[in-house]
Amino acid sequence: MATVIFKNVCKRFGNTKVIQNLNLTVEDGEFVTLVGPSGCGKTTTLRMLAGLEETTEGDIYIGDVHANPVPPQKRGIAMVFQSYALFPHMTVAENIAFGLKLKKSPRDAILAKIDWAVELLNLHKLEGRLPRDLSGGQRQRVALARALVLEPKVLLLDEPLSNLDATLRLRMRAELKRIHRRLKSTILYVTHDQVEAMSLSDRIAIMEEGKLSQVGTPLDVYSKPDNMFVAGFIGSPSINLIPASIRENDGGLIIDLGPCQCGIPEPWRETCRPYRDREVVFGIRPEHIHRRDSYAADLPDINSVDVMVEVVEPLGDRNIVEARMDGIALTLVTEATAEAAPGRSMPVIFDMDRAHIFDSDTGENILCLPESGRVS
Amino acid sequence: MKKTRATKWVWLTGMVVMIGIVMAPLFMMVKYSISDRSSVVTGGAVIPLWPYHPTLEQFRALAAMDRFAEAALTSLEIALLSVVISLIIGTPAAYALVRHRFPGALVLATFLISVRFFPDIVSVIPIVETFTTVGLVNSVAGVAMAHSLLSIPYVIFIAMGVFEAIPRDLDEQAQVLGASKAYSFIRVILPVALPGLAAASIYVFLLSWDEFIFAYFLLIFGDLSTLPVLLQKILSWTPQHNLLAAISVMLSIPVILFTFIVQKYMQTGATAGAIK
Repeated sequence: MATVIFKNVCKRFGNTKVIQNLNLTVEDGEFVTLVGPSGCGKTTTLRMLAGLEETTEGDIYIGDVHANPVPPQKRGIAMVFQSYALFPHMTVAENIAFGLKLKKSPRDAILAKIDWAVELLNLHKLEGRLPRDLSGGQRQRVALARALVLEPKVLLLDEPLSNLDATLRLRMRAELKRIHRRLKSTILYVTHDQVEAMSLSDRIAIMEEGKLSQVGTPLDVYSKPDNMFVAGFIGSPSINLIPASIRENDGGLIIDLGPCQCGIPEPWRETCRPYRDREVVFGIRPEHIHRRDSYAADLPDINSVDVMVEVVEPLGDRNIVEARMDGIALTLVTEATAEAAPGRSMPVIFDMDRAHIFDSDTGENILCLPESGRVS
Repeated sequence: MKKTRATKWVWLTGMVVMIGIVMAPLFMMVKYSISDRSSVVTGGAVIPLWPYHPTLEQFRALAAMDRFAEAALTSLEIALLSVVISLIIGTPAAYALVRHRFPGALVLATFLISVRFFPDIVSVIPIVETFTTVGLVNSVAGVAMAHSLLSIPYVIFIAMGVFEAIPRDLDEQAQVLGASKAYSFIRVILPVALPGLAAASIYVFLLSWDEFIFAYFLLIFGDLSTLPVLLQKILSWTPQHNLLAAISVMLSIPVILFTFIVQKYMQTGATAGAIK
């Protein structure tokens, strides 16, 4: 168990900057997920921590040890690859024992550890099988067992669930969470699936083009995204981002979306005032747009608009509705019981307390800037 | 329906013809090797399809010929030694070329393999000269080294393909679990590469077993002979067809045996289950 610190870490492949000035601390026993689109550098970050890639600049600490010069086999980490990388010529038990044998553990201890891992990951009766005779989920568990028996200071997981089918993925997700709670190991987890990141992590680090965009708890990055990228990446279906402008109106401030105007709630007026008459981007999550009739009637009329329903995707518990507001595409979520038919118009209302306003040049969330009232 | 039937017949005939083309010479070889003298020297009559009196006389004659047994043993020693040398040198070289993309790796690989574009006879002269000065002529080791020289490029070429097919994740996984590079090469990569390397070793064995030019020049002034060299000597006293056929059979058997032994390791899907 150990704290992991990335300090001003940069990575270049030739002239291509893959990681730029990464600063991140993973606390002892914490489950941190690196999430981002393909090619954002999350796997490279993990591989640098594992020692499989050299850092171009900066320092990595594992516990109190400056890890840069330490080769992978001496870092006290264990990694589960996306491909599982099981040794095909070894049985499940031999695979699990591989690292322990290298550590020169006594035979009894190795056998005890194998039993422990088999029990933990439910691999009963598979010990003598070869990887080729296992199903995807079983292989995944063997890969995990092989890493866990080493009691690594840090456990690195590179998209471990991406090769599993949806049902199994859900089960293993719960399993991973259970294992983390039981073992309290420091885990750095890489995925491109934001739902996985949200559901598993203590904290999420969102990466974009080699830079950390935001680090925070799942709730933080969902409700207080620092910038447009994070807002767009976290949450499913994606947040609606609509070009808009801020204007003064009867002493108050409104945000003008074109087809409709919404009042900016009192607490943020001061923050938004400098952006008066400037282009901004208005962000609102689909789940924060409500049907007017199903929502509290005491909200001011100004925040509501009629939209034209185009597509309805029923999910059982709720519907995802694709709609248009005078040419502007809008996604919203309604209750499953709500009537929404394609081609019909529907009155909706924006929950302005949960909306975001982004600077259209920098992409930063105006409401989350240090001087705004929203930062906790 | 009619058409499928016709196609089937065309295929069947084609297959029979092809099998015939492949098997006919083998049949001839075996038939001659067990023919008695009267079935070979017929005095103008048509040579029978099966010998009048099948006999193992030729094989007994070969067994009685000390030189033949010696040459067979020498050939076997040289071939096995060639396999060992070329695998020991070629396999790590291929691994390095595949896994460590150092500058010029591709050029080096091409260069190594292009050695084989030169006719053997060109390299015979410098090799015989060099081996003479260091005392490697007239020895099993010398010929095996020369044969390794011929086969290493092939081994590198085949083994590169084998290693390229093994996911890099396996090397890295072994390392992350605490293995040194050497340990992961020996305990993880080599076992997985075994089927491909077995194929390479069959190739080397075959190449050495019937190699003539190097063996001839390197053994020219000594008592040692490999089977192809001995064959040349036997041919010079124009023996009968049936004895030559028996020699041919004897030349084929070890290759077939070696292939069968090594083929055990050639099961497909060695990396199955490694990834995904």
